[in-house]
Amino acid sequence: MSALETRLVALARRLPPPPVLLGWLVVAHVVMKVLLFPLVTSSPPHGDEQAYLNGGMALSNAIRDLAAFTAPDRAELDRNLVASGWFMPGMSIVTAPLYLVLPDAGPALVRGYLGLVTLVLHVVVLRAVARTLGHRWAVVLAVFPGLVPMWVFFTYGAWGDLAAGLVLVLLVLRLVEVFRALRRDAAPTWRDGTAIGLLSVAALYLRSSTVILLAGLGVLTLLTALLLLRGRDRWRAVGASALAGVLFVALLAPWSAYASSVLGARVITTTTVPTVKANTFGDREQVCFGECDPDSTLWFRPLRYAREVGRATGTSEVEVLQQMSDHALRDVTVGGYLDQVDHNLVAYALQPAVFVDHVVPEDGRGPVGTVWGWVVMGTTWLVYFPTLLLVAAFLVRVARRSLEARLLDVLAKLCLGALLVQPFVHVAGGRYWTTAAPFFGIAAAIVLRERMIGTGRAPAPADGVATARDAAVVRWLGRFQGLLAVASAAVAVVLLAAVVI
Amino acid sequence: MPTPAVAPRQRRARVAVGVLVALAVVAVLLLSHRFGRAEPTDNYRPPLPPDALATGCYPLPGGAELDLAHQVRHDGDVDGPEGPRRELRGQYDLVGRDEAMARMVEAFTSVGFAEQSREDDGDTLSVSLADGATTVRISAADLPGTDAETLVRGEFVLDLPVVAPARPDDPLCSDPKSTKRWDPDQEPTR
Repeated sequence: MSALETRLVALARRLPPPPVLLGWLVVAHVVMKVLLFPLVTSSPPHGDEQAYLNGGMALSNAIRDLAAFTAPDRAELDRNLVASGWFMPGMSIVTAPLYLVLPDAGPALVRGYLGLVTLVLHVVVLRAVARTLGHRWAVVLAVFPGLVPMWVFFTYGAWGDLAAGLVLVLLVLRLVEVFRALRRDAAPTWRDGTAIGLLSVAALYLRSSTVILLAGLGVLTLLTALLLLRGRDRWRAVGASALAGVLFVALLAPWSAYASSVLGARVITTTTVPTVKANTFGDREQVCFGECDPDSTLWFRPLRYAREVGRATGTSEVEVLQQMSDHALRDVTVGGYLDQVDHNLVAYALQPAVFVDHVVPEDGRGPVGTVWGWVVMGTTWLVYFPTLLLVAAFLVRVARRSLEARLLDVLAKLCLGALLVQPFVHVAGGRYWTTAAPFFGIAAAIVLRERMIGTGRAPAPADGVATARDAAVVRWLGRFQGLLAVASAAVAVVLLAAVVI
Repeated sequence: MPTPAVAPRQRRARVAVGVLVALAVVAVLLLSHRFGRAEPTDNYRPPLPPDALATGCYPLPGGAELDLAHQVRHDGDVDGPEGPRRELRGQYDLVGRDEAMARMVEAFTSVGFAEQSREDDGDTLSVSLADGATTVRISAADLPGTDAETLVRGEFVLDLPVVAPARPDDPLCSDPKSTKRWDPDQEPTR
């Protein structure tokens, strides 16, 4: 390991300066995108991709109708944008402009369009990272996830997971800036409040599972501001937070109201959690107060049953789904639950490239495409799994080099922790990691950097402590870091115990 | 006076680009209905098939109608000791076992059936009815883990004479999603 490290450090010294390197890495990303495009050009939407695209099509028709001063086809919009309330409409909003111009867009056009949108978002994120954290950190994200073949493959997908991860990075950067201002006794500005509100709601629209993370970051930022500021600045912080909150709620409300009116029950984001919990942790033979219809898939059987019960009893299917879930979860044991969490974590983290085999043309790929698919899978594993080990190390360690390093450490731990709550409540799959991917990159880089500084291979940065306030901040950050690392370790021990016992 | 962050010329260029983009967007919006319509597949919101007993495809004997919130879970013919019988399994909602049974019995007595016998083993309540040679047996039991707060309350089984489909040519009458007459080799659908 040490020899390898020495070699890597020697190699790193020969690299061009970070801003130049960043440029080349973006070029490499684009080249990789171009090379991967033929793999997906004729691959029809897979699974839930169709749901997001249905929403985009229906939304484009509604806009078309409104622009022609005719009434939109409300039934079509209900059936395709809200459908059964399973998905947030973010990716439908993203794809609607394409369908507005090209209503018959096929897989090649849709995937090409999504590839362009995600490219722009990726570049915006890299620029923002370079501005806030410096070019070295932008280089980190340009490599992981920017050069992970499977992540690049997913940039052509219509799921919102990947884009949500990128938007979360923009949000975290803004929080870093807010925190820096707090150290100088400056309250968050209205601009900060606006940006935080907009970025949060964008992330939520793209992927509803980010809600835990968004709530956590929001509460912690407000608390930090209240602790560090005094007098009028404190009130300004409250004002900026309120602005963020109001924007968030105001932009989420139209969706919540619309989905609620279509489904006849209070829906805030999506309706999936009860069914997902029942299917994941409950007795699958009890999901429909007994067995579900034999003819349908895991997700559609309970839905039809819930609609039938809703029709018979004059209740909303959303309420029925909740009761079905409670019924199926009656006899869940701690052991059974943890066992399933382990399964979910495996599905979340250990099959990064499984979708290469899902997103395929209807008549298969042919020999060249098959080999290309293997290359994507193999190269993804080569980059992904070592990074994942570093992420695991990151979660139970504490970065101490400087105040800034501690801050980034806390934010990355919070983000990863909150995103990894998902396998605890939800069946997971091989695309969920794309939301966490940028934070995997940051986490791995933090561990590597700490190690390089620790072993004297890189110069230690200034600790960044200039005032007594800074010293207090470092003390509190340290305590919080310790808490997060211990909590991560405790969860890991429990989950390992569930595997062993 | 502070220097402006953006030179005036650059700012003018930005404004011009902004105006052009806005005009292009408006033009696309106004023309969009000429480009055709997108055709979403609706496949994440399949239509809800009608209730098995509401279609009249496989009616109950004597045209009996259940005045009871319920969902049919399975319908089909089975071989019994006295030859083939129709077995219709369902769940009742909102009311407890005794009330559900009273309403099911009422459905049959109101079309000429008379109660013959009644058994209660504490869990399952069974009632036999007859109208001439036509016999019907109803069993009902509350589901474990349900109470007055739950919508679904229990299960029932109707042991009925075999019935032919009322409208064999109606595709609805051969749609198992509605009739709940499942083919054992049924392929998963939505």
